[in-house]
Amino acid sequence: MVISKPYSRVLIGSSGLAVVALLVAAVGQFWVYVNSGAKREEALNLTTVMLESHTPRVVWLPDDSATGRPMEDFTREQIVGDYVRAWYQWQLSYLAGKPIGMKEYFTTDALPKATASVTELTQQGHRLHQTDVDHYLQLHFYSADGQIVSFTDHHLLLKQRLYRTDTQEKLYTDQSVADYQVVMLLDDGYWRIKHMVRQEAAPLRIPQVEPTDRARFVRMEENQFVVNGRPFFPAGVNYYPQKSPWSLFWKQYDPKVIKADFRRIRELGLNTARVFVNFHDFGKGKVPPERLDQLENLLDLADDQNLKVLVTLFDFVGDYRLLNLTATDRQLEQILTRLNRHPALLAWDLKNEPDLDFKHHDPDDVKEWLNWIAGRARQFDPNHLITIGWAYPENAHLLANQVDFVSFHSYRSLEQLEQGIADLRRKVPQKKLMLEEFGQPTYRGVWAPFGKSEADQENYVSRVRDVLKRNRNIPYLLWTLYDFTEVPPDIVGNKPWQREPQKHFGILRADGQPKPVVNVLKP
Amino acid sequence: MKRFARYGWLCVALLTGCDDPPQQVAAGSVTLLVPDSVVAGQPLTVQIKTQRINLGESIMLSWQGGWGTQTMAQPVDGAALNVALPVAWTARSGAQVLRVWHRNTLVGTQTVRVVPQQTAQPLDLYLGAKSIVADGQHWSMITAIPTDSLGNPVKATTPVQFRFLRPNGQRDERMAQTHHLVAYQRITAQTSTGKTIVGVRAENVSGKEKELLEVPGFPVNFTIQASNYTPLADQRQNFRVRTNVLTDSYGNVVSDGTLVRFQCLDPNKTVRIVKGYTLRGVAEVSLENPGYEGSMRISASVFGAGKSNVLTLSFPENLKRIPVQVDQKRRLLRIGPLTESLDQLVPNGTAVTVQIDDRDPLAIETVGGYAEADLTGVTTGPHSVELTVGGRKVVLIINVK
Repeated sequence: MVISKPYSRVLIGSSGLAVVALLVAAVGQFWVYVNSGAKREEALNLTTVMLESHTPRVVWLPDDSATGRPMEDFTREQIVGDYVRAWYQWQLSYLAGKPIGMKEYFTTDALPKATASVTELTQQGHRLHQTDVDHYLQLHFYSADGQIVSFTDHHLLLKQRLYRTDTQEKLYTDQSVADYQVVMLLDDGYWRIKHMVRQEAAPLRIPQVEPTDRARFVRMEENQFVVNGRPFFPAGVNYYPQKSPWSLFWKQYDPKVIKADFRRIRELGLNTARVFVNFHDFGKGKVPPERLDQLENLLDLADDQNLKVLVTLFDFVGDYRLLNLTATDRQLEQILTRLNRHPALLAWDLKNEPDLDFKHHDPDDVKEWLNWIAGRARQFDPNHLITIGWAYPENAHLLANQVDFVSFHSYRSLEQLEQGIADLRRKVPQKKLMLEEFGQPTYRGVWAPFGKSEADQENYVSRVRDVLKRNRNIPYLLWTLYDFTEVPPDIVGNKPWQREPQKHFGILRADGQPKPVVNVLKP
Repeated sequence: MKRFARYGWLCVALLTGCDDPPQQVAAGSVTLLVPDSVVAGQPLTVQIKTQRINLGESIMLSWQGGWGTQTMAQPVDGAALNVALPVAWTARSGAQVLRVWHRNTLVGTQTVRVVPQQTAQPLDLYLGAKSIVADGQHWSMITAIPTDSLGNPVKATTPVQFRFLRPNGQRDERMAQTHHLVAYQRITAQTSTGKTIVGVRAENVSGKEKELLEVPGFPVNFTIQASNYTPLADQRQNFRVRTNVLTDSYGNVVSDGTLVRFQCLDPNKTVRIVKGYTLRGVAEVSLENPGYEGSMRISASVFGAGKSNVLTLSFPENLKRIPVQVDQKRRLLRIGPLTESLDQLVPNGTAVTVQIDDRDPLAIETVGGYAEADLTGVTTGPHSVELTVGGRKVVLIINVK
């Protein structure tokens, strides 16, 4: 083949450029390599910091009367870190179908025992999803030289799901509680499991949060909301500050803004605000103290205005695998135990629109998670009500026996709303309902030339209220207080015909001026 | 059917060799016939009655123990299945849960206690701390974690015998039982140093010999003395300072290598710190005679523990005279010959300090009894010179031409 001269020049030139580019890239990689040191954990052989995504509950019970010697708090932390990490690596190994990172956490004679179940399950064509949820540790023995420890892991709660590897078919879902007698040795800076003997769970008195003066809190009596012995009818808005909605809310939390907005809500004749706790902004399983302070401050500010707050938890949680369970469990515990005596709290909304996740996750997994979280919420806060904010009334009957009132959202026609309520009533006749989200955008522009006006919005809300009144006066929370100037693309997508209407659901314009709809909001 | 169940149980008992009668558990649509307990490593056969499960379908068996979960699919080919579980499943002791699943539903469950075998070699023993101070107060610990031949911890309350041979020859024997997988004994120090030898036995299985060092504590106060001492302030001779035998409060000779810090205050008020290490209780250092006349004060100490007496040694003046000449031709200040009390020349390297006018002092040393200072750069005319040798100071005027 003959290549003409101009082509050969181009070929040679581009080849030369490619070679130079490769050389520059190689030198760059080398430069990066020589300028990056070993990880601190590797260099100093330190225990790797526990992930915020695997945070089982660990409680030290009182030690035995004679343990050989007293144990230092530092050592307890080290043991817990390595013990929990051992379980985590085991879980990861089950997921991967082969042992991963287990040798640091098991002694050489224990390692084959721990890895055998991993490899045998893989040979069976099975894949185990497992997580350890609760550990109640009781120290029995700590050697004089601080190198051997014996303890019982009481009531170790394991949750499991077994799948076929080839078809991903779920073979079973299981949950078990047992006591584990454990011996660990300190070796090369790691506490490693040497022995682990499973025993049937002995009776154990687990510390519980006791209910307090519940009359102070919103309760359900004869299917009505009641506080301090008087009926309470929730009517309000879903709330984000105008300039910091969604993911900006907690990062740019400003008490002055919240205070002014809550006063505004009260001036509009409303009594309830619904707010959202973003799972990721709240540090997954390790909630930063400042976030708890912010949430408590928000409730205090609401209390100052005599408002009640419906706090929606786990916003943007979209992972219902067992390995993610403990992070949600810990976040729930940290938030609820901190605020379980706050009078401004109307209820805990355990999840916003979980039925939207039915499309991408196994609905049974979603329901299992909700069921779990509902049970734990009762443990951590026996004082307040709980609900689940279903996206559609046709799903709102799910887990109805776990909640105090049934919440759903509706952005559909009035006829569909009325029908949805009627169907839901048939399924859960005994539960109070709440329309937790509804509304209509007032955007009419390039991306929605036939969009609704502010007068349309007023009319729509007024007619929705008529529907709610006809149906035993269902409480309501409108979406939302403000029009927004920006909506993050991860909320409704980045298409302008989706984002622009989402900015205009407010009952107040972006500049704070009221829309006509405020005239039909008061309960 | 009842007769079959009776014979079925007999078959299971014979197959498993287990003494416990099987417990019949009905949960959902299967009935499990399985013993309550089995010895670790023994075969275990389970009889599963599957009346409500169609032939040709399969059930799933899961086995959950301390070391994880294992599974096995089992086709249903009759109303009663005899399933021999893998021996590996019964190899690990503890409460194992056998569950039977059908179509994602739990249809049967039974807990089987896998009991460990007798204690087997090797007997896991851990002794720590490895050494303790023989002060009658410090203590160490010997820990035994007996296991069977499959590596399972033996059953609780297994007796473990600890025998000790103490440094003073005393023999001691104590019994303990395993609790929470371990058995242990404290070993409290005596007051004489040496080794404590430990032997451990559990259920006729002996462990390896373990030994504990009982070491002396910190030394009490001690004394020092000088030897090979030549009373000349010549900065050339050496002498030795040694301690007596260092002992702790119980009379035990301190460990070899104990650091002793000797502090010497020279006649010119400089301080020298010299470190010595004990060997068989004695530390010794070699010190150089001072270059200045006067007394040297020496003391010794062990950090945080005993101190010595203060030893004072005298070093009289030794230099006889200090002749000085100016070598105009070579522009040198020539000091010497420097001689001592016996008219011998001072040792090579004797330090001489020369300060001309207000210039910086010049440090030079003698060679063959002479020290020479370079006068290059010194202007012609008279100059004040201050000489210091062996602690003696001489001031004179020289004339440089």
